[in-house]
Amino acid sequence: MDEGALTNRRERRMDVLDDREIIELLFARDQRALEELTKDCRARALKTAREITGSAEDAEECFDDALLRVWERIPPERPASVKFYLFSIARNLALDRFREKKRSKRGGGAECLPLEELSEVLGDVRDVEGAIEEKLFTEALDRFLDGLKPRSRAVFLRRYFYMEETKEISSALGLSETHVFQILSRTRAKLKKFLRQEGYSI
Amino acid sequence: MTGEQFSKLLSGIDERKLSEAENYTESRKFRGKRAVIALAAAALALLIAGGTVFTAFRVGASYDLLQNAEVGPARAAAPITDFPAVPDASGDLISPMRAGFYIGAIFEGKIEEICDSRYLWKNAPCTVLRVKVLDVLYGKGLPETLNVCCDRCPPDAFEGYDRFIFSLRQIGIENFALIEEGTGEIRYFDGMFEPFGAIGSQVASVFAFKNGIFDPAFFEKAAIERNVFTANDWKSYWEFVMDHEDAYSVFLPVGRDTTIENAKARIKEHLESADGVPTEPVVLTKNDFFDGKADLWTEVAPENGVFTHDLLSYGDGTSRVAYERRVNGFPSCEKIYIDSSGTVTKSETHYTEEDLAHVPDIAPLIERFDGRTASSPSAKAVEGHAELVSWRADGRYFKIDGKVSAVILYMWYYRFGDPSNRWCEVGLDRLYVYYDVDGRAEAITAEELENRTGVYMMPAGGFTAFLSPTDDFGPINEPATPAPTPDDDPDTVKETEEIEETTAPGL
Repeated sequence: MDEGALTNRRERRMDVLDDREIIELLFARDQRALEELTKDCRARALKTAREITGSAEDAEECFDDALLRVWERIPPERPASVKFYLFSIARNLALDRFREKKRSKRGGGAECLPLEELSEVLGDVRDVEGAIEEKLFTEALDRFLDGLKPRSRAVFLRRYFYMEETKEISSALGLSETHVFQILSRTRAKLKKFLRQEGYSI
Repeated sequence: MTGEQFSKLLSGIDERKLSEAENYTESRKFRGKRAVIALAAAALALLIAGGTVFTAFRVGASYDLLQNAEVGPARAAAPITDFPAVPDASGDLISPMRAGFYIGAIFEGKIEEICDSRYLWKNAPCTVLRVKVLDVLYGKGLPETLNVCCDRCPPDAFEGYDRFIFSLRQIGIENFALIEEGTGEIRYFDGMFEPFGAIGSQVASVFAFKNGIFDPAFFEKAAIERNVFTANDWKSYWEFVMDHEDAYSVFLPVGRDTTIENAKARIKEHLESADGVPTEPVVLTKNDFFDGKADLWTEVAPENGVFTHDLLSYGDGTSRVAYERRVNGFPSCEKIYIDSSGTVTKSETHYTEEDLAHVPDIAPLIERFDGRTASSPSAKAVEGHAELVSWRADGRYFKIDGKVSAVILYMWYYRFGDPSNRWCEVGLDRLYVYYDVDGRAEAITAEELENRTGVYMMPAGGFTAFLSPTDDFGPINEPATPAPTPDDDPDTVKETEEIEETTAPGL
């Protein structure tokens, strides 16, 4: 093998390891993988988890738990994007914690505006239960999102996946906040109509 | 259904959509401000009878841009900044060229000029600053002034500050090319730097001081990003960090009301600790570097491509600067390396002018493959065993059998497992379709590609057994099967209502 091939194997970007490199470290049980993930994903995940749980402490715990799960699951799992994988776990843990808070007698007052907005629209849509139904629902969501214009899709996902405030979205996309509200409102209505067509209403 | 259940199910969608949502923001976020800047420019132009404000784009940032850009001879346009020889910290008179690449440089600086021109970097606007170096905290041989390219930063964010602490790396010795939007001309810069977290704290790379006091509001205005964080993320992140210093194990060079002198002292103290600067700077000082650079110049003629560069480090602590040629806007495997001693090494797949005269256009091939997913041999082979999650077609140029050839990287992402239980594994399959100069297509594995080119590519995720070299992928000119679009799909929601775009209040 020539020198070029060898150097291709050895090359490392200075600032950030990519997903493949981090997964390689995880398979080698090298804890530097966790340091890299923390360096790269912590702030983003903490922010979203904090928006959901309303608590910096809860957000920290969700992120730490997510990191532990990544360590436990990889190997054998090999996600396409370990950073997204970590972010999704942390986010889902935060959603679980939010639900626990809502159910807990002591946890009254748990609020997350984006989730409230969704609940208002989806209240009469039946729950999705089981892995197969979840998979089918996710596929339907993909189709729904495919049908949106890129701007509407970006606004929708920033609000309901990343849990960003409308002010943040308006600033990031160069739109007025009123415009963001309009897009969200119309997209929620379309979502409801779409889910009805897909047979998800009661 | 509750909001939290719905939001949780969103995690299962194609993650490319999430990435696209962020990219959409990156490419469009300054649209409103650009419009306002354009209006202001028009008004200014009326006032000064003929003034011109334009936006520029960085070469190599976008295939489309490259296609539309009027690419001239490498030295056709004069750099807007002409660096004279300057004394370095030791008093020796050196050219900033001779100072070479810096991977990390930290200094107190003062902005001498905010360039009027606007540029695009990776499809996002950027501002170019001319910065005077006042006090070097890390690095040696820095010129007295240098250029700093800040992506996604509006120019007015830097106004009103008397001092900055910059943590930078150099991204161009010369021939750092940008394209002006108004004229389409490429302009070349000498000694270009960009923000880079060399301080070791990984929390920021530019700190602004007003009347000598640190101002965290700068992060919101400047939107200096680290990885994927947006301006708003930065602001909230920074405020959170300052309010919860104990929650992080990172080094914080500044806090609320920190003076610039205190910040510099904290940085110097940190640099002397074991956790200080993560990497030694690459400083090329040997005279033979110039010979190498002159040789490199002959390779950088942009008629057939533009070199992009990367900074590379190795397990033994050494670093190199690598230039990779882009052909028709796509990466190729040809690389030229310059190490810290100034030695220039070319990859064995060195291209000649004759090679470049017969380069196939890779873009239509990629489009064509994007429409072939449903009938791919891998999809059929794994039917019943795995779920196809997503696919992507990409392209790259290699030198194979002495000729520059197009290779399509056709990637499928699969999820394996038991759907009644849980999907337990995500796999990646790659197919390399090699087109020779006569237009014949052939499916090859990563191993075959490496054997033919000497270039290592990430191997497929264990599914190469599904590929067959005898699969018929058709001749190069076969019409593509178009991918289904939302308009073709009756189940897909169509957006028919267009909301008039409005400009953010106050702009």
